[in-house]
Amino acid sequence: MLNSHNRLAIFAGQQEMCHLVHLGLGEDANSSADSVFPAGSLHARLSELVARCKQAAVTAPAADAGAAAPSGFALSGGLSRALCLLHRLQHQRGGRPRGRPRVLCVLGSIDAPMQYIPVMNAIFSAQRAEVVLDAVVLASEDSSFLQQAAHLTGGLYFRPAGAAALLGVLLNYFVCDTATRQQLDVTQELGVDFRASCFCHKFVIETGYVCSVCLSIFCQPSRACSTCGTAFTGVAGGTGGGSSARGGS
Amino acid sequence: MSAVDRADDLELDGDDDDIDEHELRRQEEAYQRQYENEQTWDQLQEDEFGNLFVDKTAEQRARRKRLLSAAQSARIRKGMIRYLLLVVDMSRAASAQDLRPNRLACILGLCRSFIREFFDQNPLSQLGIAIMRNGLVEKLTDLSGSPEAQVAKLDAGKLGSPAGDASLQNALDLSVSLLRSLPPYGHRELLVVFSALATCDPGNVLDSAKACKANNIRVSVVGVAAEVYVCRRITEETGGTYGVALNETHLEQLLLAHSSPPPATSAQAKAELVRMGFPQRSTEEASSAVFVGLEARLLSGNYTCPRCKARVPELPCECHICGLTLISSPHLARSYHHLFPVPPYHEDSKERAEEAAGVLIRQPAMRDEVPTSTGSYCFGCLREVSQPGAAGQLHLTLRCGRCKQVFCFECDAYVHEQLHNCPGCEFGGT
Repeated sequence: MLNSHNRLAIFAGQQEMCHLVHLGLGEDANSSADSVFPAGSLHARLSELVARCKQAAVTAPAADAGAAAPSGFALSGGLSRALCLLHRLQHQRGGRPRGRPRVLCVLGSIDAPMQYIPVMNAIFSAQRAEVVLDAVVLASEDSSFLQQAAHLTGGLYFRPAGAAALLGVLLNYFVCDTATRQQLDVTQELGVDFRASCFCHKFVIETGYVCSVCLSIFCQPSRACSTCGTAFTGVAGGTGGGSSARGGS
Repeated sequence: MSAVDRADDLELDGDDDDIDEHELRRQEEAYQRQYENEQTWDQLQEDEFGNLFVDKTAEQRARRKRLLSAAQSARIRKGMIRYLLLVVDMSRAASAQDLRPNRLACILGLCRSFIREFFDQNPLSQLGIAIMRNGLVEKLTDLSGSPEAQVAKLDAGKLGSPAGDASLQNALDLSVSLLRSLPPYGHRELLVVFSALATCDPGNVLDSAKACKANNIRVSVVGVAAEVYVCRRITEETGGTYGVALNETHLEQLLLAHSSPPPATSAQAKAELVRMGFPQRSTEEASSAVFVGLEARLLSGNYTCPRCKARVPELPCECHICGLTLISSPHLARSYHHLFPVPPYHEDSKERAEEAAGVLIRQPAMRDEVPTSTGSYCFGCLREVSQPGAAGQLHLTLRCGRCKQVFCFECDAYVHEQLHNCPGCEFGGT
């Protein structure tokens, strides 16, 4: 809370839900110390949330005995809610905070591959709205979704070595605003991999075949597209100068 | 032009009392036509305390109707890889001043935002620009995939002033020669922004239209002046759309409607597997700069073609050595929302609310997060919304059919136009 113009909202989420834990928009005239400096009540609310989740997890298996295993945290849902809130705040008249809005994700779970399209949609609309997406990942492996998010929106991505390093990272880089970041020495690894993975085997490929109707990516040519079912007439190679396609080139 | 004539008449008469009845009636009719939809006092309503407020629900309903038609075209095959030629009319009709400051300046500004929106929605596509002036058509830019170069050319100062006649046949012939040699899996389109009321051609324009149809080129026209029969014929024959703008806002809507992929007809494009490459990015350090691209510029951040290892400056592009189309996976992902659009939201009602309450019981953590006086809040932006059917409802309350969460009108517009994710459905909605 370096500046009284700052606005803060905190969402905490587990597998299939995301709960708003704190919302400090500076709108109430009688804002108590709690809504501006939420540290005390935040801890209480988060512990209560964790306890509720544990209880729900205990009672749930009886109900969902036949359901498939849960797919991990719904990152796209949290990002979508945050972006809707930011959209509303950006279009509100009067009292708009200056500087670029940002979303900091602190994540403990790994990427769910089913979330690729919704997460990319969220990243593109963040790009349009000039929202910076930052990430601190505490999982065992890098999250390629959040790496791409940070790269495309100009944010920072960290995977601290241990949970103890979390406070250091937060204090060093995320307390200040986006303009001040250029003055700080932020070393980012260059490991952003934009190569695609094929839809059939999930291999990472460097050249592939793209269906011209539904844009799904395959590593080998086939008779028909498995996503949209169109039968192909031939394979178009990329020869110089845009010549017309020849079958089986 | 009629105002100018009228002023001349008044000067000749020189006497205010002599304005005849016919003239008065004409002016009154014109006034009514201009202002007939602006009875804004109808929108004022009173709530139970006698306070006045503006009821925005009617306006919001009208806007939602437009959004709905877009969302319902989910199951239609669309043209994802598009090659579009944009033709701007710079005949003398473009200097008319019914759009401020004149038609040409207004059109150029809107074309710039159209180009940016086009590449935003269709990253794999290519666009070229041409202008019609003095009965000829001049090509401004070649078909390419980068927006900035195209936008820079659309500067009124550099283009010169509008003059002469517009020739539709030359524009159609240019599009045939440019688009004929393109690969068949791409959708070929021609978009003409037409301000003139006539076309001045060297031959029969309908023959050129037949040639376009034979080459599978879809011709669409956005008119600025009035509906012209020959434009209607051409667009109907080739399967495009024709719209005439009523004012600047309407013109913007008509133009931007062309930025989303059009439905594909079976005659137009055959599905093919296109070979594409996904290059890796090199480091940004200044010490590792190399000569990049056809012009051999010295750059540090560049991409390496996976097939021939040549360096290209930016994506998406075609490798200048081996011709492989190079893209990155976010470019493809930008187009996926056309294939999986968000289903439209419905207006909330008491029955829907009760049905939803049964479903939402299963997610206790996502309710009552924000204190509200009406008891319900928008799931996206946490704004207070009124209960369905309550008196004095200020804004529409909407509910998603799948996840049963409540949304406000602003979030509905944002989700369906820009975000393309329903926040509620992401949390495992049925």
